[in-house]
Amino acid sequence: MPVWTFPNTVFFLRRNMKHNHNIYSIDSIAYNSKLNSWNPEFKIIFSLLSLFACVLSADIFVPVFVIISMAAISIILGKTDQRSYFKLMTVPLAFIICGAIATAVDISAEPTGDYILDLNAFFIHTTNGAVFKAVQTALKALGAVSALYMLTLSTPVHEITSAMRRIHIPKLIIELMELIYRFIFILAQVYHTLNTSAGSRLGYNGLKTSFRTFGTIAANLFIISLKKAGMYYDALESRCYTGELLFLREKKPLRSRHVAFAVIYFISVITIMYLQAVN
Amino acid sequence: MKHTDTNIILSVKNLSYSYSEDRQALKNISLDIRRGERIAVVGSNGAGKSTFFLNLNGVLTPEHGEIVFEGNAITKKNLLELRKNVGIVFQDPDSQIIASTVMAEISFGPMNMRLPHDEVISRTLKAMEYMNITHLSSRPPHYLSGGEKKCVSIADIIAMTPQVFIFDEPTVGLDPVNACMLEDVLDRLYNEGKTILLSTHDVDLAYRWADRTVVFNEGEVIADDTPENVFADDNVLKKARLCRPSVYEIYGALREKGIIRSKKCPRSVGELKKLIDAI
Repeated sequence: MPVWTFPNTVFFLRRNMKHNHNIYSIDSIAYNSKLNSWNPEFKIIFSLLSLFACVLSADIFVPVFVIISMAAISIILGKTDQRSYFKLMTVPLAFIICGAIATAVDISAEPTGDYILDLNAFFIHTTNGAVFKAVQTALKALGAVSALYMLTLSTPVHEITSAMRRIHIPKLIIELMELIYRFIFILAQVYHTLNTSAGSRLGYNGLKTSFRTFGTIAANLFIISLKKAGMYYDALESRCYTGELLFLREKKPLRSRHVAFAVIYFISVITIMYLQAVN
Repeated sequence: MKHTDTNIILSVKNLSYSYSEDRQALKNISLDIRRGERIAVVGSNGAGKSTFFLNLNGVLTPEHGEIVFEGNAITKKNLLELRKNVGIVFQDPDSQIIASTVMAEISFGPMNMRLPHDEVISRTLKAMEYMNITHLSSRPPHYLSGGEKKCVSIADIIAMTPQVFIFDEPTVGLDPVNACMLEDVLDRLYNEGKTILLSTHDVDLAYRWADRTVVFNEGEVIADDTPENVFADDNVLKKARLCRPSVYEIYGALREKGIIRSKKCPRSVGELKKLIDAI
């Protein structure tokens, strides 16, 4: 879901800017995905069900299945570029790994646990159980992210919000989501422009200069983005915008083969859960 | 309050606006705009043209004074009526375009007007046809070329079928081919009886296209007359830091030498050529 991908979006954008990519990357990936023609509500339900399956599963098999299958769906069925997919994945992965280490490791004055690192003043230690638990949590989180990535990388944001509107999620939340999503792009765009122009004036020549440049950009970024955001809002208002971003939606009917696909998918998930419970 | 002159579509009365306390952007402006007029708004940067336009469309609320559309003074209640009937094509298409496909983008205005679904579709298709961009309908607008983006941003407004079109510096950043396309669109809109306001720094365009030229300077209207009269007035030109259209200058020089006798100054290069050919 977009809310999830905000930080990721920015990181991804910043990375790609170095390679001179267009900054509308996520939107364009979603737009170019072969899954874009699938019914958006279907994709939302499909991805949320997989997410719940991941989070509720007691073991690591369901998350592993979801991680692999979602990558396969996005890359093979959706024809999303492999490199973009894995690059995007590294962002949450970094957070997940940090979190996993934090949950597995403990600090104490006494030497306890299965693995101990003696640091003279104190001990860093962990147990087999804690390591397993951390890996399991990490895989669950990664599975959940994969499920949401399948949705984000195949569905333009206004289709998601329009589905949210249909199930009567409060307007305020939807409007905020849409505007934040839009303004993230503005911020990234402005940053890109400032960065390029600073670079062209030797703004990154040496560490000290780089720091100073970064500071100046950060300060200006806010002011310029605010001004731009104001202009964008004026443009919206001049076209009778009253708090809901309404667009003509292309009709994307639910196809029986997609439903069949989902049924097979969840039968596999349940089978995995069942086998694991039996063992 | 009913207006007596039914030919006046939009009337501005004693309009003042300021962004901050110490600087007034618009000072007591009064202007009557008649149906089917072609008005060029000229003036240096920061003269208040864009602010004036945003007031005309109701995005900005006048500090003093009022805007009267078809005899009805605009209040908060009928603000949307004003926005439906006065459309602004913004200078920078990027600040106007929001949707992820061209079709969705153009449908935004009609959707906000809460028109029936079929009507939205037919208007969107018509607007795309009008601007010759039907083949772009499912492309993401942010990837289009500058000229194509301009077409999309004009189609945005055409789909709303306003009475009054406002073009904020439409020729900025367009190549000659697209500038010709723009003038063609302006002519077509004029022939359909639309009222057009256009701000520009291109005095040649203002001179050959407009029926009436309004000169802004530091938030005030310092001249409001036919292009011939405005560009004949040295004081106005000096104050607004404008130069004369080239056709006008050449005509003046030729007349001074007694080469051309015609008393009527030609508007365009073509008309001037005819005069020269007739010698």
